[in-house]
Amino acid sequence: MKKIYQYPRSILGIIGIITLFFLIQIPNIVVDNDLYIFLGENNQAKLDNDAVEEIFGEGEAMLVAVHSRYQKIIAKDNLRLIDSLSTTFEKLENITDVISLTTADYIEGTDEGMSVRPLISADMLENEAGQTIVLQRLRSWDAMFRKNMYSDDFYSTQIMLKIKSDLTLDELETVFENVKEVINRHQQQGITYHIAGVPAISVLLKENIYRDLSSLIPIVVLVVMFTLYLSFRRAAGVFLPLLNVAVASVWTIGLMAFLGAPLTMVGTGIPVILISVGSAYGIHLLSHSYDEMRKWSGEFHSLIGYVLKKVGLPITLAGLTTIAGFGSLSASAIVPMRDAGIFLAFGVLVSLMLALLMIPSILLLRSKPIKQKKNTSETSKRVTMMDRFLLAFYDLFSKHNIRNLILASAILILAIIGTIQIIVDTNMIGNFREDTDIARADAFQNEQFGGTTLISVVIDGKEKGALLNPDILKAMDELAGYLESDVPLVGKVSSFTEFVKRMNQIMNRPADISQGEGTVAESEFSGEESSFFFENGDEESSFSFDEADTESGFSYEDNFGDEASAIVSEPNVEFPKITQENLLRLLNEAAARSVKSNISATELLFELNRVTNTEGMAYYEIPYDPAKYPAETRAELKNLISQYLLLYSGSLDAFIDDPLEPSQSRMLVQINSPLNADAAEVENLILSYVAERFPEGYSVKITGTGKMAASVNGLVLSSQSNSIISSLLIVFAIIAFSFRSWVAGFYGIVTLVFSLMINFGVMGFFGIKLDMGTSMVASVAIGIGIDYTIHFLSRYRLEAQKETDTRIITQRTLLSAGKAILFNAVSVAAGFAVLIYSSFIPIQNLGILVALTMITSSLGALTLLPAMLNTFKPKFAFTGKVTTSK
Amino acid sequence: MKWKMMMAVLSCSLALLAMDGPQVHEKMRNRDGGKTMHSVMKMTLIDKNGESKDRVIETWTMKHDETNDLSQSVMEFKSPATVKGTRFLQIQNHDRDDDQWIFLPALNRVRRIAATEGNASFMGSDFTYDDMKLQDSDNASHILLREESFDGRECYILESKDPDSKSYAKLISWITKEHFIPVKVEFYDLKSNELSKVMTIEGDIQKIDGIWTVFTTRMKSIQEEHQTVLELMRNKNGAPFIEYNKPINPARFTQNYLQTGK
Repeated sequence: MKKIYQYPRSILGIIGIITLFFLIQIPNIVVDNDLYIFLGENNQAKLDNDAVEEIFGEGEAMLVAVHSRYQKIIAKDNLRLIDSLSTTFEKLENITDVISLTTADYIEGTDEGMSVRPLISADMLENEAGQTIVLQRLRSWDAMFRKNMYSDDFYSTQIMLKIKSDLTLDELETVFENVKEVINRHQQQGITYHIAGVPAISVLLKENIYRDLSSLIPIVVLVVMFTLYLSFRRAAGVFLPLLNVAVASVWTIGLMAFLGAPLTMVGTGIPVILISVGSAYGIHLLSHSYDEMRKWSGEFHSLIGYVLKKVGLPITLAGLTTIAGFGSLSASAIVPMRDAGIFLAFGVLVSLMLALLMIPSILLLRSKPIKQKKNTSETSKRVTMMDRFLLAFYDLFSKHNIRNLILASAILILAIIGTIQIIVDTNMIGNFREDTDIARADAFQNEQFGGTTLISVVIDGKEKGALLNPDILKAMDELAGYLESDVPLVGKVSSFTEFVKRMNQIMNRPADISQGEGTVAESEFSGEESSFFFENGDEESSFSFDEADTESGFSYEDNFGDEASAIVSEPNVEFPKITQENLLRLLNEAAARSVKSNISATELLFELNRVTNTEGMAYYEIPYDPAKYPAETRAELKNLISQYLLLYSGSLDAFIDDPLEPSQSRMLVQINSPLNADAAEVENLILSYVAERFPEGYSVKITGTGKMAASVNGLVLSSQSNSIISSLLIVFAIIAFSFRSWVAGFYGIVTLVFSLMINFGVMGFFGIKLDMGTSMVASVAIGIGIDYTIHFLSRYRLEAQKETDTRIITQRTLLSAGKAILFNAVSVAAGFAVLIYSSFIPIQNLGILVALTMITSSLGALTLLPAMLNTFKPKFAFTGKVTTSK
Repeated sequence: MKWKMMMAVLSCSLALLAMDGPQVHEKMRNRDGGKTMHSVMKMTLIDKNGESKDRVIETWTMKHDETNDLSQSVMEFKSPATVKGTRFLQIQNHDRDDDQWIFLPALNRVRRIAATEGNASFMGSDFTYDDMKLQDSDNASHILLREESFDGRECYILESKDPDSKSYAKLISWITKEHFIPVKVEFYDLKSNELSKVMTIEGDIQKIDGIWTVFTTRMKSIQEEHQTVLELMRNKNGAPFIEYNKPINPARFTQNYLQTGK
């Protein structure tokens, strides 16, 4: 080992080359913040979601809400505005579809059949009377348009932008910027815009990651410089540890770029954490070097050797425990946390190595001997002040053993009460502060429209055409109705059944069918008919083409007449006509049918329309009762439904897997709350409804971003407990080994458990959610907090060899080790506290909680630990040789 | 609209002269497709995993207005079984939208369909109603890019642009010199100007009833990795189910026929 230091230039050269290598990697770093990335490649929720998107396409879109303050959204000016926005959006690159009031189609029944037209035609934009038509049309198909095209108060509408799938984050960002630019050009009095939806969130996460990196790093550097200056008061003391962490950060970020590990929200903390944690090793080495320098009379070269020999082991031990803490995150199933753990452990390892190799090498290369500090008086004065503080601290806390233990127990009980109130939540929108545009937009959408959390309910009937079965369609329709009316968390349900109902209504709309009225003038046609015999029998290959007939002009043999004439029982359904006499009776009956005591006018009208079959409303249903249709059995109604699908001409592929004979269908459920727990609750309601009410033979699977976020919750919880247990075990082993005593291991982790419990208690009481950021706190706290315990324990044992009075031992330990412990805790806490300035709530909370834990674990080491040692007098502390000290 | 497309690719004409873009287009447009056509086709939808679904459709087409080149057609679904017997009637009009009716056997009713479909997919296939518009539009411009051999056939390469198209920026067609049939058409997306679909003719081009006929047409959507194959059905002996210029009773193109099949 010693030999290495004979070649300081080579060491620095090699470090320099490696640093250069990693430095040129850094520009290749990718930023990613897809929700999906959090789940890893093999997560079931993600695999399910991918499989569903493969069949039905992506459900997510960018949503632009337009809110008009002073007049209804269907006012002429507003419609013109929406038209202008829509046509401009349509021209933007990578936007595949724009769905808005002015681009949507409207399908309705006519006297002769059906018509598909734009919902709003050009003349309605010019015409005041057009408003009424627009209103009527919107109201006529509430299930489609309400909370989608209009808010309940009619003051807001929504423009949905479908975005090309598989865009890179950069391309998505361009789309987002373009959309914002279009909106800015359309700013006008009384109109506010809100952009929401997963694509917008992804872009904003990325923007804020860059913002965080560029603003947090300078702040943490300043904070660390300040602490360094306080402790050394010389340039080298500031420069060297800073150089150390800078190089370590370059290596770490460079390695991430080299390995293609993306920088995520959690990853923004990496450089900040490295700078505040990694500087400790350089500080240790330098402070010991300077301390020894004052007394040293021999050759400078051997001074470094002596310092390394004395502090090398404790610094290494401190580093290893921290690496163990971060390393415990590598077992996490959440990819960004796992990556952050691995790269932080790597970064700490590098800082440690640099502290032991680079700093001594630089010191050795300084040709001129280090000048003695002149202002020793000031230094000693400072030490005295510190001593006085520690003595006061001792008087206040550390000498009252029993009182401390009781106090600790009380705090512990409080903390447990808090802990059980912790909420686990990892929703994407929750990452942003409430005052950000995206959080406001999300809240607005959730309040006025269907909701921004999406889950897909996939109904799989396995067989071709299984989703034509009226039984399953009726069950699906009832599920949709139940969710929309009885589950307040559900804002809107979009289901394929809605299209079946609407087409059924349109095709059965009462009106005279102009039967037999030819559109071509009947000609006296006496020639031979074109024909060949085409038969679609049981075997596909049995088409026969009678060639003998072909020669002699075709014997007309038409086999389709059979099917048409295989006459189906014509239904004979009568609907009452409204007359003066029966109007009141019909109204009363309609009101009576409502389960609610105070039926609304809309509901009453709906019911009246249904009873009288106005506009075919009696057929606004899944065809179910064969008596009402030209069918003998319910199974025959499958064909009717398939024929309706023919009319949709393959445009329902977001809902069914086959245009004519679907075997699977997706129902989109919008939830108006961002909370994962709410999505999970809706999921449970759906699953129990399905279990009780769905017919046999259909399996139901739930996927979507809501589901995936809920699945992150479970992972956060399990990875939290895994990382706590594994890091506590490692730390226990390290202490037990270095003190050669299991009991010592136990003492070591007690103070850690104590500060962890305070952490969780605070989270519970203050409503800080357990998420991707805050679940890292425990590992960091254990990895760094353990250093205080080790430091205190080893010093205590050293003092115990010279003295028997525990009070004096404690006092002396405090005066020597206490100073270093408190100083280190405060500087690490200050470094982490910088994360308060992060744009992300989880990262802010991570900073606050680590800072808190640094304080509690250092105070725990200085109070709880001596109280326990003094009270129970464990053997390991009062016998044996000194193996570690700092 | 759709069977018109089919007709366009199935029919043909003959001319061999050095000519410019508009002339090539004119030749292609005016090639003889017969006064009537009757065929049975299979439409196969193939998704990106290679899974396929078949539909069988029988069509009758007849010119009802020679001066304006307007036709009327009936299309009847033979399979899948759930839509068997469903019939479409479409009559092209000179100065207004086409008339369309549908007969749903399960409802036993004929209903008129008034729709502005445009770029909607035809029956979930890769063909859209607009796909042939560009070839028909009077405002379209056509440039002869070059002449080259494609798939063993000498072709004119024609670039067509229609300022009125809502789907495509341009089309590039490989048109055979022998039959004036487009054997390959590249469709370029209006917005991105990228290749969005490719149509190719597969197999032989043969004369049936004196009219050049193609048997298999493939349309591939590039982005969606989805494709549709249209092919003429054949009987046991391998003869294709297609015939031209055989008289068809005009009564077939009425709502009454849709309802009764007679």
